[in-house]
Amino acid sequence: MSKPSATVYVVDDDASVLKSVGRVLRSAGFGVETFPSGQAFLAHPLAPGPSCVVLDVRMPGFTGLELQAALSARKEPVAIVFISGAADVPVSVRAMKAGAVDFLTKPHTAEDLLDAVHRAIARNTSDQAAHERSAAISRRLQTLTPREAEVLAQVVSGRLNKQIAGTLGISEKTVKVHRARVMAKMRADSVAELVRMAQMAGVAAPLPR
Amino acid sequence: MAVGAPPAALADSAGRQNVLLLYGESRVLPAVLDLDEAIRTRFAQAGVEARFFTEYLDRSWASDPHYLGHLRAFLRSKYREHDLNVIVALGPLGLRFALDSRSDLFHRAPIVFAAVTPAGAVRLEPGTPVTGVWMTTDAALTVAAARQLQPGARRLVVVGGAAPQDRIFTEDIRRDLARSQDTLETSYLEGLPLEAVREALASLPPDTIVLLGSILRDGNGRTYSGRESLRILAPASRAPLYGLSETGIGHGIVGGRLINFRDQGVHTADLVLRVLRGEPAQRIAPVSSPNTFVFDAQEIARWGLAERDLPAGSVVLNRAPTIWTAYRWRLLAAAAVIAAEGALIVALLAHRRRRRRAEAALTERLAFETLVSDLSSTLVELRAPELAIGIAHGLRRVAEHLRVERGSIIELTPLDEDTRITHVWTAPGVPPLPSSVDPRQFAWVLGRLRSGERYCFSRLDELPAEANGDREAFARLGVRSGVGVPLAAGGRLIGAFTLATIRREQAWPTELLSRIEFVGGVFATAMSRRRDEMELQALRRDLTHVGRVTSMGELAASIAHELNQPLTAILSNAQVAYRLIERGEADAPELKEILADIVADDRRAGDVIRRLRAFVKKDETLRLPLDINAVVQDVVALVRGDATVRNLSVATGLTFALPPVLGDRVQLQQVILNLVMNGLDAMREAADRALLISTEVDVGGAVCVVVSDHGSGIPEGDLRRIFEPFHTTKPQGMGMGLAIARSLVESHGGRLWAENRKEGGARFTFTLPPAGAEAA
Repeated sequence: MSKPSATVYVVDDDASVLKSVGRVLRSAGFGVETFPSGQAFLAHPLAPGPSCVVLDVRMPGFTGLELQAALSARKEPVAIVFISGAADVPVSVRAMKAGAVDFLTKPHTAEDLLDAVHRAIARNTSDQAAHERSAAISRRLQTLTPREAEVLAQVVSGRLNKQIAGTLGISEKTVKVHRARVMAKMRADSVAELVRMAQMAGVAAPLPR
Repeated sequence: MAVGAPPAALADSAGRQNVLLLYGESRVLPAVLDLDEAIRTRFAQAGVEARFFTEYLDRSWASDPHYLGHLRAFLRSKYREHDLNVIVALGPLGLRFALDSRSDLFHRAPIVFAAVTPAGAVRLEPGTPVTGVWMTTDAALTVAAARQLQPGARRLVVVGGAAPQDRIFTEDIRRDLARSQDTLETSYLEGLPLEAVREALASLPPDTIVLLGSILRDGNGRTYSGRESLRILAPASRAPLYGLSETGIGHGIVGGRLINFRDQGVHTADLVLRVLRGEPAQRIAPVSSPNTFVFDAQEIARWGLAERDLPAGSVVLNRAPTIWTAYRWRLLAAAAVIAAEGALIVALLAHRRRRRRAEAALTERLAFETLVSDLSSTLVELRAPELAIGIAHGLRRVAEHLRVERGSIIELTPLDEDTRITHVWTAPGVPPLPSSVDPRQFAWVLGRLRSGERYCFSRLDELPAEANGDREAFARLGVRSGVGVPLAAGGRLIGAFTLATIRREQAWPTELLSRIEFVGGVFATAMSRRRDEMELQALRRDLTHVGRVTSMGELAASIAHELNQPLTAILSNAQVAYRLIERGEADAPELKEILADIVADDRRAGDVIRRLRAFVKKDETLRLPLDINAVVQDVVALVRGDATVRNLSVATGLTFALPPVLGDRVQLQQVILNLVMNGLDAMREAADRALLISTEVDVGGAVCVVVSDHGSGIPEGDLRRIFEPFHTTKPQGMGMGLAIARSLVESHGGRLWAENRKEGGARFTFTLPPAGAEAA
């Protein structure tokens, strides 16, 4: 179940909590890095591979929620498990809405923490895969010519070749050539796959006339 | 009044009997004045006229060896023609002289003595017609009380003069102290020149208890009244002075278990009246008049002693003047007008016997009115906890004045529950009221009182048929006549005041009943005030608790956080250790480290809990010498977490080696906590987010705690109002915090005030008097 390659970052201003939580995670086989403050964590480069952040809500300086906002401003996916001293409902709602994986109330058991961390690592793994995929699609999109991009947009919005030819003022045969190049460059086997990729890359379909 | 006719042979032509008041000492001594006044007043109250002869032997002031011989010759010629019905011998030297000269000078008249200690210098021969009132010098009890007040006291100094009476007092003290097992290092300054005594007292270390006997004459032969020597010694002494008698109160002694010469006089007069009625003096057992713990509030304050250390039942006199003092003087002025009227009437009606009865009645009425005004002013000045004693005192005085054998105060409500006898006084020689008396036996009496009506009966068979149960109950208690009036306050029934006679049947004329109701009103006021103040005190305690709990609420989140940290660490560490052991991966050094961490975190959690407990405890105050810096640090430890979360800082600037203050740690923590929380709240929007708590000693020697913030300050007009209850500027505030804080500081004898800092923000300062300056 555990992924020895995964890294858990623990951020807490309390030294003994930091030490004991680190111990629990290490005993479960995780690579653990501990930070006494949000600033220290932000200044540290992240290791490659799946990871998650165990974050105390109440910290002097940079609170847990502020750190969450700073992390999501970066593009890489990050999975956060919050730990809070008090079961503070408004704070936990905000944290979960902002994408936290879990919200534990101190004192928590080792099992609760490890469960949450496993889930967070799993989420991060899939998030990273998705992130990787969409990055690949974006890279492929960069290789299209402007005309090809125009044809792609028309195709994913479900228009026929004849309609596309009329809209763009080119011959239907030319549309077919562009379309074949788009399919090849995007490595799509079918129009359905092309549509999925376009959605993933956020290519908005132009409004139908 | 009901006094038996005197033997005709011994009365003068006007029917008056001859009483010789024979004082051992000078007439100007306060004790002598007290005795004399009490005896004469008592006679007036009893409606008995006597012809008083007075002799003051001046034994301690006169030093000529031939003095006594001359005196005898003089007295022999003076009393040759006067039969004496009784000799009242006052003081041991007065008694000794009376015993020696009774046959020779005073026609073998019976003797009633007072102000003599049983262990003292006089031997009573059996068969001699002598009785009297024993006096006690409670030196050991006074020293015991002094040790409670001055727990750090190391030595005891007893001071006494060179006059014979002085020596007798010093011997009494020595004897009494020898009986107690006190371990104080004790020395006697006896028979020295007053100047030397003064210098000795001026160089005493403050951890000394000084017990002042009597100094009527010093080692240089100079003579003083007790107060004159006190006036010289008291200002010079560097340690608190305790005394033997109430005459020293208000003149420089802290107090003690003190002789009350007025009481002695009252008891003496009662014995004299019995002898005059024909009872043989040798058949009357001497009575004793117990002393009372009496203390002077201003001396207690002056020496930095604490009233809470006084023995239970202490009477505290000489409090700072209150608004009621003015009232008392009005009452006394009214009494003086009546007295003047009385004197005028006396002058006009002097010759007529019939009128003399009016004079006696008037004097008696005056005595009663003086008693009532005195009683009401005394009760009015007492604080709630002392009122119970004050009422008991008053009950006795009223019952004695009205010459009944039993008096009681009952707490009563219109409903059936809650009937409680709170005070009973029974005359000496009468069986006390059994504690098992069930007020419900008196159904008819209680019914009348509950419906707001009085009852009275001159004989048991005057009680109506429906009161058969009551009659039997009264008969079992030996009551022969009785009266009871309901007590109401604010239109509400609160109790009853009852009187009963045991030895005789007594009629209750309307005039007497209205007097009893008048006195009842005085008691009712005191009782309702006592109840109100008790309730107020309970409320104050609750408010203090509320204040503490409110601060707690504000702090709860921060404390939960503080507690959770170690708990989280402990749980995690324990579970890791468990897993390691289960998987067989545990190695001893690692486990040892984990366990050490668990222990450290557990300690940390314990500290948090201890601090928490100290704050929520709802207890009575406990005043102990403490270091205010430690209290400040307690509070800082408690708020630092909260401040950090709010991005504020709390700094301290403590002056070390401050004198200790006498205080309740929890209450002082609460005061500082309140000021600090206010300061933190005030800096919510401030740029400079530092709060400073500093301690120092001011020019007057008081310990100061100063809490300064960088908030927006306090509007100038609000600097005073913020201390008023329910004045608040915070949306969630109750407005009680500063009001409670101020009342707590003031209850410690300090002051709390607010000012705005020139550089912005507010500064709260409170002072506390140092504990150790004199007492420790």
